[in-house]
Amino acid sequence: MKLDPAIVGGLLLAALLAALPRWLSAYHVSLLMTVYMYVALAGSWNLFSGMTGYVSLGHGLFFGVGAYSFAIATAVFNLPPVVGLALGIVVPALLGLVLGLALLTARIRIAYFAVVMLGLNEITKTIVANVKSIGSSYGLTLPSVNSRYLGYYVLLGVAVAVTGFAYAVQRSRWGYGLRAILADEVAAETTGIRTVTHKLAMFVASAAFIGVTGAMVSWNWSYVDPYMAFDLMVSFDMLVMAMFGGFGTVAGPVLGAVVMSIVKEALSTSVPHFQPIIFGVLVIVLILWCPGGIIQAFGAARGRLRSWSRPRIGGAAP
Amino acid sequence: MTATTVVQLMLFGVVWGGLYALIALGLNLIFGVMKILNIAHGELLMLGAYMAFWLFALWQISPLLTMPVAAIAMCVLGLIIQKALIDPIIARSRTPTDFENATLIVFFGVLLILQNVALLLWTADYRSVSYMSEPVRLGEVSVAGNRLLVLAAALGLSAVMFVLMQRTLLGKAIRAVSQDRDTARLMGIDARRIGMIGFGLGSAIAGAAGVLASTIYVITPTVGLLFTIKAFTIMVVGGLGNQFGIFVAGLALGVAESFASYLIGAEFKDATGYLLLIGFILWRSRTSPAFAGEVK
Repeated sequence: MKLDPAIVGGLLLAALLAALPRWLSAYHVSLLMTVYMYVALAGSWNLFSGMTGYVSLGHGLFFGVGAYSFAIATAVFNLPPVVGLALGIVVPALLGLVLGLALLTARIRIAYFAVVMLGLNEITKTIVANVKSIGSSYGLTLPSVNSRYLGYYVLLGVAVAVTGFAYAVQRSRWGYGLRAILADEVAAETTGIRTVTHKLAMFVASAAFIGVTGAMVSWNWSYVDPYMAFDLMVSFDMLVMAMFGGFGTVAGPVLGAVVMSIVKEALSTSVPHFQPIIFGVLVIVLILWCPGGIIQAFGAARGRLRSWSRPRIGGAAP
Repeated sequence: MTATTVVQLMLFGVVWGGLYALIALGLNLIFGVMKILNIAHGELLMLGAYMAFWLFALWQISPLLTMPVAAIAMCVLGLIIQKALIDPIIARSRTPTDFENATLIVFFGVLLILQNVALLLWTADYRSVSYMSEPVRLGEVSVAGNRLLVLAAALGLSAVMFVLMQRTLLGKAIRAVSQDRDTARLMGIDARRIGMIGFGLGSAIAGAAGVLASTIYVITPTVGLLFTIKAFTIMVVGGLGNQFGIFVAGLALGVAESFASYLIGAEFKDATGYLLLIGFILWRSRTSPAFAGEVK
């Protein structure tokens, strides 16, 4: 059996990162956790929106639902955190299934889908902020993380799992089905691809991965309120990072999330007040200069990387 | 609920609804001619509202006078955005999807910049313009004068828009480009110029609507997105390109919100609109193939 260099390289990198925390300061550990969080979020967003073309403006909904599933399980029902994390996968996945059955089984314009997701995030935020038994707008205080590097390993694990999953899907028969949907959904359907099943599966998968990320992150915060959990910036960040890296590729969202989260962090420590403004300018400049994301800019320089990252069908390959 | 309460709620709803309708008409213009989902539309409204606030707070300039100024300022800003950011994307986009994705991110960047510049310059304090807030009695119900002013201005501007779009050659050209860009160009319409005009006009309306909103609502740097989402709701429910439908949908949303905040609670006012939107899209996309349009 021939070893796939991408898999070997990825696993080596993950092993290296896993060995890293004992040599790092607390600050660098938490910085890396932020990076993993964004890799997981951007990668999960890409699983559905990047691979099918249905841009979602409200995927942060699943982040918030995951966070609150964990919070309600641990803080309201006093269940062990492991159960909370499990619920952080199951509840968002079920919600994803229900929403997917409602939204993705009939034809829907992408712009409408995008804004419906945005609206769902806002509705859920309002509802959560007004239910007294789950803390209303004051939020809930959660048990603190009992092991030092637990958050680090869980988030690293999720980031690796999302990337591995995307890679496996991309190379499978499903990947071809999804690329056909991305290129032309009607044509894909007429060739016998079960488009609804494909879309639903990816939607549920992205919801589950984002949900567990939200659960772990809220545990790390040891506190959660509706405005943090359902912050619109979560929805926007994952979209911008995935698109900036390279829409619909496996490596793109990872690179985009790594670069952008480090830039964000650097800006917020050096010029805190101007961070969002500079971030906004950066987003605009980058999209004007390299529309296919940085993965494509890399790809132009190095043909090998491009064949690995597989730009989407119909994408603007240089 | 007494009859007076019902009338009062209707009146409040219609005031908000008229404002929503006006904003949605502007967004519809931009979406029509440019096919852009401008998520920063509400930020122009926010800037217009701050113009009204500062001119009123510093020199007691009436919002009525600020309205044309804000409209022109936002029109210029809209044209700059179009020239500097949208034109390069049009020039290099190969497919409509490329264009939509790129413009979505660009407007996200614009939203971040405008919102945070406002936050830096004017802080997150809640501001409001207390202009003509004395109540006016209309039979049994009483209503603040500024609300009547907002209603009148929103109705007036909507009527102007309606005449412009339905009765003038420019309006005809805008509608033609919105319906089918390529065919419009074959008929000798300069689609690029119409795009500029549409974008400028839509931005101007957002600025004027911001001035109106400042007299009846609190202004913060983050107020914009709420209006953007509502305007989008109204545009979809009223029907893309259907001015009359959008106007009616705007009024309906205003009235629905007004009753919802009385019956369920003011905190659920905004959620009502989203629920209506989601319900409507689900219902229509299953019953009318024309509504769903091409899948992508």
